[in-house]
Amino acid sequence: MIYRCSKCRYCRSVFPSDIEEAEFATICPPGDRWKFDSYYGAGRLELARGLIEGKIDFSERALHIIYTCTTCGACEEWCEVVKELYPLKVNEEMRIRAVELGVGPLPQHKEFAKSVEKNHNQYKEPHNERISFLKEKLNENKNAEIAYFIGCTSSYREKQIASNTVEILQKLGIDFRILGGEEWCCGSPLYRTGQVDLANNTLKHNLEVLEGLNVKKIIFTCPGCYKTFKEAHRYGIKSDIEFMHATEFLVDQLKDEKLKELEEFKGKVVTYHDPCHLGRSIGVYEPPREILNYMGLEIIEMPRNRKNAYCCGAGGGVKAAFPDYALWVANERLREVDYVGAEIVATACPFCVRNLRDAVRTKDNSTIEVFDVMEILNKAVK
Amino acid sequence: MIEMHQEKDLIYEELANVVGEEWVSNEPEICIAYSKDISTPSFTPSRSPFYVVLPSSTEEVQKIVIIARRYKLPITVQTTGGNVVGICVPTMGGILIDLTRMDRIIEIDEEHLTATVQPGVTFARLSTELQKRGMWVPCMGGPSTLSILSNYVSFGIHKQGVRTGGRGYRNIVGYELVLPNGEILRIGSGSDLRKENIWPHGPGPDLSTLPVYCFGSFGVVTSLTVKCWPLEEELKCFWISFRSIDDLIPALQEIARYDLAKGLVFYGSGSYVPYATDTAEATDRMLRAHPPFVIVMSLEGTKRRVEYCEKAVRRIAKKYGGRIIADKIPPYQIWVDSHKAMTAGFFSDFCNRNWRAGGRGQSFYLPGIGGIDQAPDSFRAYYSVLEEDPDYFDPEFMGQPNARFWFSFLSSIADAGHWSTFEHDVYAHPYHPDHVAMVRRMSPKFAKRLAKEGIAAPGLSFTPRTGVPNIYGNYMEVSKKLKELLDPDGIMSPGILFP
Repeated sequence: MIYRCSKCRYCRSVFPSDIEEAEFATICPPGDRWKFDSYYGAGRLELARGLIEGKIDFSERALHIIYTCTTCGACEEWCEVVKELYPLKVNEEMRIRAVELGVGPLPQHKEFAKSVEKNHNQYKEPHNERISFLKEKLNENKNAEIAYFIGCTSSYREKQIASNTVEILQKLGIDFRILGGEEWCCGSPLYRTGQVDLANNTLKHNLEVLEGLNVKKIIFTCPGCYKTFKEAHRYGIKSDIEFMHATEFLVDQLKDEKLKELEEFKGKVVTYHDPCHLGRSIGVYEPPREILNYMGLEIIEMPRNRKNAYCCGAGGGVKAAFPDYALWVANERLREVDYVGAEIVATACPFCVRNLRDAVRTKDNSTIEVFDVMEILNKAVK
Repeated sequence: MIEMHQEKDLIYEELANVVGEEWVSNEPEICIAYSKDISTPSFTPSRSPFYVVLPSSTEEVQKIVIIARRYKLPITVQTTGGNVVGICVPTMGGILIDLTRMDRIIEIDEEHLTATVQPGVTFARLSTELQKRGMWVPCMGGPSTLSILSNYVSFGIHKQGVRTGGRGYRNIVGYELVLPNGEILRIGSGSDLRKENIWPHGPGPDLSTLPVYCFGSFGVVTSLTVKCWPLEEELKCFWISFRSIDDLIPALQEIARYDLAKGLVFYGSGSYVPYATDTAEATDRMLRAHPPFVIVMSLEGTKRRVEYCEKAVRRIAKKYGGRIIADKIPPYQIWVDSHKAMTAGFFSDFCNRNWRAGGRGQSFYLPGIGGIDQAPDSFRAYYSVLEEDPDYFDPEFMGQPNARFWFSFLSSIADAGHWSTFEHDVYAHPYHPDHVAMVRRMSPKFAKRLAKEGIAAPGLSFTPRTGVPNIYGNYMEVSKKLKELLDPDGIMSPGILFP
């Protein structure tokens, strides 16, 4: 497969007919940052070829190339259609191989793997504090067929996303539960960095618990978790449970709801940032936008949106291993936010929220505010 | 964070002094990405450069060229690298200059209808900006994600607007060329005369196409000014089918002579079929039902002019026994895309969105140039070579029903129809040994057959880097002398054009 690349460069570009501004026509964060061809989808295929043919080794540079990919999947979006090639999957395979050979992952990734083993989260936080911020014991609702899988980032770093989601579900009278102490890391950061064995263990644990509780549907606010559960079959793990992102679930629930007008957002320009794992990976583009529309917010789209959305820079283990580069990518995205004159960035991913907010803090005098859709929605649900 | 340590030799140090350490590498993990295109290693050798360097300005390119000359190191230039015949893959290591960082649209001159771009600007990016101003540029048949500069100085593949706009290189208004000694050449009004690119010719001998079709042999083009065209009020596409190529040609000539169509192409077999189908089976079905020869044209202008042209075209079609098959069939969108300068050939954006069946193969072609009246001879020569090959039409070849090849013959009419380019395609897998052997077998046979018919094949064929066939008198000898004069050390793209 890797021999068939014809260097059409669709892995570098927004789909040509969709380009709105020449300035925002590129799509690959590591390619944009380092520019050498090896950092783009096409070059990664050549890197894989070199490794297979024994022409190169897993050197420092090779690991740098392999691990600066944010796994946003933009390269694969059109490459799959055009040439039936999969540069992202090839990059993931290189990561897996690096781990098998003991040369990968990067030290920071090993750290969070250790933490997942010990604390069941990547943030080195005590497991018993996972849901300590929630006021009620929602994990005791034993008959609920719907479970809300909170995820590590919303449990320990962006807690407001979880608490707002819980409140929304309660206000809407949804019978749901959470897993509490039985919720472990979904495995996403491990899968993304090539540490498949440990990832399989933690994902299996979660699914066994959920199936044991007779849960029929799981909703997520973290696209990373959602993607991981949804793609469990890729790793030979089967489940009959239905998986949904919270915005997909709520878009139907809110159809007939009368929502409050949001005075604080009145007259403000709002844009929506598509999280890569929710958009390109799973194809959820409209539900978050529809929810924002329900609240009377008019979205101004950035030139790169939906399938052509530019990554926030946090994914694929990049934020842990290359924090400066992660911020560089987020700042590239914020440049686009500035370009459309948006004051509010709504998104639907705790990781995107975190990295974009971090980037806003690095800018002098920026008034951009970043919110998860759940944070805004909770203000509107009566 | 990974700490990377490159082995630093003298040349590395010198290159790093020019562009900064971040933009130069001699690591195999970086160099390997520049060692291959779809033609390697089946048809051209695959070699990694020793150094890859990413300059950001013309001045940096000058300095790199001077370093290369001092050490007599070969230079290969690459930007988007989307060619299929190995012209930007190094032949013997050396320095690879990747011009990706030079990606500015320097100027769009609405008064003179020109645009000046650096090498890293893609067709899609320039087109996006031009359309906002009611302008467009002739574009190639490849992906619009590729460099407009590289394509135009590599002759420019035909496209919808070729008849009036001409092939890519005919739209060059000015360029900036870093010569092999580091000097900069600017032409016409872009020279010191006026310092803006309005006309490309002179003073004195016309060097306006000096770098064209030389693949970097005469230097590095660091900026290009191209002619742009106004977007027309009305666009209509027509497809006329004919039973034989002999019926088609006089109709085509008449359409060209009376200047009825801006874009004018004809093709044999089902060239455009895969654009409209989504499986190999559907492609086969449609190929069987497809008319053998088809003229495709775009009528453009004011509403009244398009109305007039349409009437005339319908009359000509009737006169020569042609049938207008449809005003709008699925591939129509290709032409609409094309009008937006979003390419009009294989890998066009429409094609890439919709075409799945064809993505597994690769087109290998031998271009020809001749009078439009030579088209039937060209087609017959091509078809006879295919027909004579024991494998080509054998449905059992490789034992795969989906491996069925298709061929196509495509001709883009230029100017008033007195000449045309002929594209003879075969589709094969670039790495399957049986396919490769077959293409290798056909290539020389076909080149000879074309030459016998007096049709020029100016350039790279199925087996690139074999140089231009010796059928043009002393043309290539004189070109070689010019090359030796400008590049006495032979550092620029050695082995690509002059073996």
